[in-house]
Amino acid sequence: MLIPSDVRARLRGLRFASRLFANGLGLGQHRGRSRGAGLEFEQYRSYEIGDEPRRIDWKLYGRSDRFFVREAARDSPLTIWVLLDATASMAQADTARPGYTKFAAAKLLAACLAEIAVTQGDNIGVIGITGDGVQLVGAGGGARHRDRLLIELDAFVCGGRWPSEAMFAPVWERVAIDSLVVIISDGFDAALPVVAQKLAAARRQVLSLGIVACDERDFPFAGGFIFRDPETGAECRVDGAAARTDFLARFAAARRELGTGLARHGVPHVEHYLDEPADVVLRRILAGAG
Amino acid sequence: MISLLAPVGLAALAAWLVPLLLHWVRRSDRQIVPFAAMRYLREQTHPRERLRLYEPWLLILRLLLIAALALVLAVPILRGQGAPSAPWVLVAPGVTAAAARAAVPMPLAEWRWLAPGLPPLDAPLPPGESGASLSSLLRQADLELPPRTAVTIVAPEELGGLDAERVRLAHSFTWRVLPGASPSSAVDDGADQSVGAASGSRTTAPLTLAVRADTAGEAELPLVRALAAAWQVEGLNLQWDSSGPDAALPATSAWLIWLAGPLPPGIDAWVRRGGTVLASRQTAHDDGAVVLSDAAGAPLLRERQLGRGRVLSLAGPLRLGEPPATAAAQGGIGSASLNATLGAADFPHTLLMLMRGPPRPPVRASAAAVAPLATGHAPLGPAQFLSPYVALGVGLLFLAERLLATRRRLGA
Repeated sequence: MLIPSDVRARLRGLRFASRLFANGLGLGQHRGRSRGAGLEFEQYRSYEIGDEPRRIDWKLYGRSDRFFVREAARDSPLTIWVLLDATASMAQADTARPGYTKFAAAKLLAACLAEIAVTQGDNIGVIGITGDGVQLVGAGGGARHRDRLLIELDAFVCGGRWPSEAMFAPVWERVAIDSLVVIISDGFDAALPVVAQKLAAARRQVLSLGIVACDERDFPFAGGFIFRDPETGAECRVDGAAARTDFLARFAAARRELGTGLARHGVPHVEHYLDEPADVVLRRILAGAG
Repeated sequence: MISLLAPVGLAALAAWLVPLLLHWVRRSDRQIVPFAAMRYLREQTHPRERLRLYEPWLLILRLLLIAALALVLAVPILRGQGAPSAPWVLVAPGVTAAAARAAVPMPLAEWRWLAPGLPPLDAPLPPGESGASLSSLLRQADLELPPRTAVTIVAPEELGGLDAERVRLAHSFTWRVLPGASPSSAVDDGADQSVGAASGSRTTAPLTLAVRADTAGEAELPLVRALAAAWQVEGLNLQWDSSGPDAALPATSAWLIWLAGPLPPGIDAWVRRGGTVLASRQTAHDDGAVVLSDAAGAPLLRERQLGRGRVLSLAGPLRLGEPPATAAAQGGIGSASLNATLGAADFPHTLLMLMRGPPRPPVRASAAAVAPLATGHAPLGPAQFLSPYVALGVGLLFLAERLLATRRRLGA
């Protein structure tokens, strides 16, 4: 999985931010929940048995005649999970660029996210949801983890339909509270917004990236075609020129509805077109998240 | 004026169906596009069924190619309607050039011999026997001369080389008859002799009857002499020339009676030049048409064509009274039936008719009586075949079609 050099160069200015507390282990760049000894004063709290006596603020004791303990905030790393929609519909590519599928674009976005996360010392993991089960790279940080993630991500495949709820156990087991979840999908699976809403309601910050093919945006088909749904296998014969206007209107309405539905639950949704570089959409969604 | 020699070739235009069908295939309907957003398409937008032709320029080129091929099959010709040229004077052999020039006062005309190739009158008439009939030459000249050309034909009084069909000419012509006679050819001679001998109205040169007999054949000579005598009684002017088998044949001899076994190659060559031979005691007796059978239906006399001549072969000896055993051993023909046939009263006449062969049609007539008739329509003029040009067009169209077809394929 190679990130194009120009895209990689433009990734430098991007960074994750979370409105939740970061709760990763170790030191990070995000405001964390853990308190303790440190430089950055956070708060006073009343002494409890077991606190070290040297942490008592004796000057405050002189003023108030009560024991208070100084606490400092400690910056923690963020844990980011990339949730890849790996159903069969993601195998679709543009007629103008047949080799570049939506899934390839999604993997490229995930690689870019890993690059950003590792650069700022955060942990990142990837979960690919296929019809048969879940492909997973556990969360971790550091350059070695990033390299391992890129190699394993390259082997991800897509296929099948959106799985049942039972298959989501790994997601709920791994994606801890306060972590950041980036969902990358084509938005055609009705269950995905539900998952996003559940995650958002359960104190995870969720960002949604929708991938839209240029064929869907422009509908360049003229003449008779047979369209096949890659997930259901259903076919329908369509006259391209006649169907264009109606299709574009309905498709735009559906995307608008998806965006507003997600936004209602606090999930920002941005769209990535297959013919634009990967950093454009990342710039938009990471700016919105901060 | 362009016309087609074989208009049935235009039936090849039925091949137009092939490229039309090829280009009518609705290709993109077979194209299956994976499209996840299919649910937003309305089912009602089925492609309309209408006549759709793909790559119309290639189709037009292919239709043109087939049309040109059909045109080649139909053999197009162009008949020119050129400007009126100088009048032509065709002089039939038998009239001298000087006499013709004196009789026809047209010094600026094209003067030609009515001979194969229409040689100019100034040149001497090509010697030798032409073999081409005068009627046929006239018809060919009528077809090949430029249209709107006045033709004067100078013919001798006694015109030879005619055929059974009266000549009809499309050109406007003048028929001049001058004293003289067409030179006679060997073909004419044979015909004349047959006619003359049959009718008796005409005295002809004597016909040499050559008889060649070996020692065994000596016994057959009496019957041959009897036959010759009978033929002379019928009016045939015969000259007898009897000798051994090795003697050379006289130059004027037309008939030969061979009584010396199988025919040697020298005789074969003589027959091929136009001779007629009656050969007895022929062992190779199974080819040729049976022209005479005995009472039981067994073949007695066979005739076969050899070059321009004919061979009449007899299985047994040409004599009477042969013992039955010998005859059966030699040819398998019963001696009794052979004797009955050879001894019949009408055998000399039958054999004479066979020796003469089929009567030939008369080829000479009075020129005034066989003046050509007018066809009534304008002469067509010489035809120019357009097939090479159309074939060149086919080649160019084929190249263009290949270029267009492969260019599209490379671009895809």
